[in-house]
Amino acid sequence: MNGPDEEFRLALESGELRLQHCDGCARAVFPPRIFCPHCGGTALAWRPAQGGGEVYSSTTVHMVPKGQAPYNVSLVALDEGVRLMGRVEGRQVVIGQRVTLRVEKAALIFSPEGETP
Amino acid sequence: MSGSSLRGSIAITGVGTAGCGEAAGLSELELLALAAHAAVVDAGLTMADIDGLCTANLNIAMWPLNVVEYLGIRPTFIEGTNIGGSAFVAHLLQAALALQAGICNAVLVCYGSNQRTGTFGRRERTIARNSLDPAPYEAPYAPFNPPSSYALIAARHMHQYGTTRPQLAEVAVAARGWARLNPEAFSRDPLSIEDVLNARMVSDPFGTHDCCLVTDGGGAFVLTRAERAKDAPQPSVYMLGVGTAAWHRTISGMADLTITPSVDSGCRAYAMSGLGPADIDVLQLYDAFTINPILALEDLGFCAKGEGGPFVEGGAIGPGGRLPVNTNGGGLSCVQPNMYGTFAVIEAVRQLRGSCGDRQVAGARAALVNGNGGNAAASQATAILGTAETL
Ligand SMILES: [Zn+2]
Repeated sequence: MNGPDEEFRLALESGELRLQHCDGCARAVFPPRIFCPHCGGTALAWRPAQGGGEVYSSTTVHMVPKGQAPYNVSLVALDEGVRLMGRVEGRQVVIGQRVTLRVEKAALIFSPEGETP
Repeated sequence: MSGSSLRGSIAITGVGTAGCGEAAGLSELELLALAAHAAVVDAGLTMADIDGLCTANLNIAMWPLNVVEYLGIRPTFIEGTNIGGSAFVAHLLQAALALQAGICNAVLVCYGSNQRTGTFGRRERTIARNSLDPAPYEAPYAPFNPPSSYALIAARHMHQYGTTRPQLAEVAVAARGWARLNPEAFSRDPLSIEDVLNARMVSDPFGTHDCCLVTDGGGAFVLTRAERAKDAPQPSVYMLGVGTAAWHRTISGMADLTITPSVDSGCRAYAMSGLGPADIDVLQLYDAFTINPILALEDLGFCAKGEGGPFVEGGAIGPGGRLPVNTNGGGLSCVQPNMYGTFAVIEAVRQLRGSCGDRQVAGARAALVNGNGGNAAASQATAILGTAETL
């Protein structure tokens, strides 16, 4: 039997972000857990994420090997109510801006809403 | 439930440092042993008197065993809890409990690292840790840690409260001001706000001067029950309060990036000590990055949440300012061998002894030490120390 981490990873590798939702308190749970960190409930069901969210915080990493471009690391608050790390690829990344998710090579990549990648 | 029976029950009777800055040719255990020996001598004891040990190391899983063997001690109390750089502040609570229970009589808290000059340095350790302690939900995005996690904290603080890069720079400039008065400090060249702002970017909003030093160094101190401390050769410094709090491991798991666990650890330390922010004469706030002292000043009640930026403006926490913070120069300018906790405690003790020379805070009677640990302000340990007058 796969644990929640492995279930999550397999879904992500197939191109889908799935989140656990708790029957007990109706909250989404991330990272995947054996039991709900909010209410302790063990009835957690997987649902695909809707893909919308908001940039909660953001930084550009400048310490990169020669010839490599600086890159973005962000925390995104998904509409489901969980926050996770991903990369925002946009002309300008601003805290508070709406972003849309796509899963690319098992990584969470976000674009500002309305900006096509 | 405040643990107030521990107030004033133990004292720091000896402190020692070694190899602060660059100590090429010395191993981690050698640096630890040099500092430990100095602290034990300072306490008027010999290594044979040490029957309690608190220590931690970021590379070696069973580190207390390495230390026991090397120092040639057989302690009855062994404490190796590692919650990051705050560990050695947190150890005060466990040591106080053991001393008060009569488990041991003299506890040595000690640390050493050669991360700057050693062959297994910072870079090698980061690579090793990525396999030993992977962060599967962050690693794909390659945050440059620890700077990137604290950069995310700083960026959110700036967004939410209007904190500015010049305000962050004030923290680095104040630290350098103190370091220039401390012969033991590693970085003592003049540093201006402009220098900080114009430095090479690491992970925005942090440039190189917003990030702590990477140095070698050893630090150690000795604890005994208060009644025994009266015989110590140096003026004793008493533990008035201590509290520890840990809330998460990763930056993704931090509930509110602008609020650290020192909200809790500070409350616990204040409750045990019966003191509040207004009673504190000098502060040692773990400054891994320039945002850390700002967060600590807010979370420990020296200013309201969000007002830490304006609070530090105009040299307010530097020499001659209204609140002396990190009087040795801190991890930003004095010494930062990966885990800074022992050094924050040692500087507080030196201030309360009145032995700080040019950087002495006149009449200092109560000091607050705040330890920070983990890549994301994950653990915080707060201690309040005082002279005999504060008992
Ligand atoms: Zn629940």
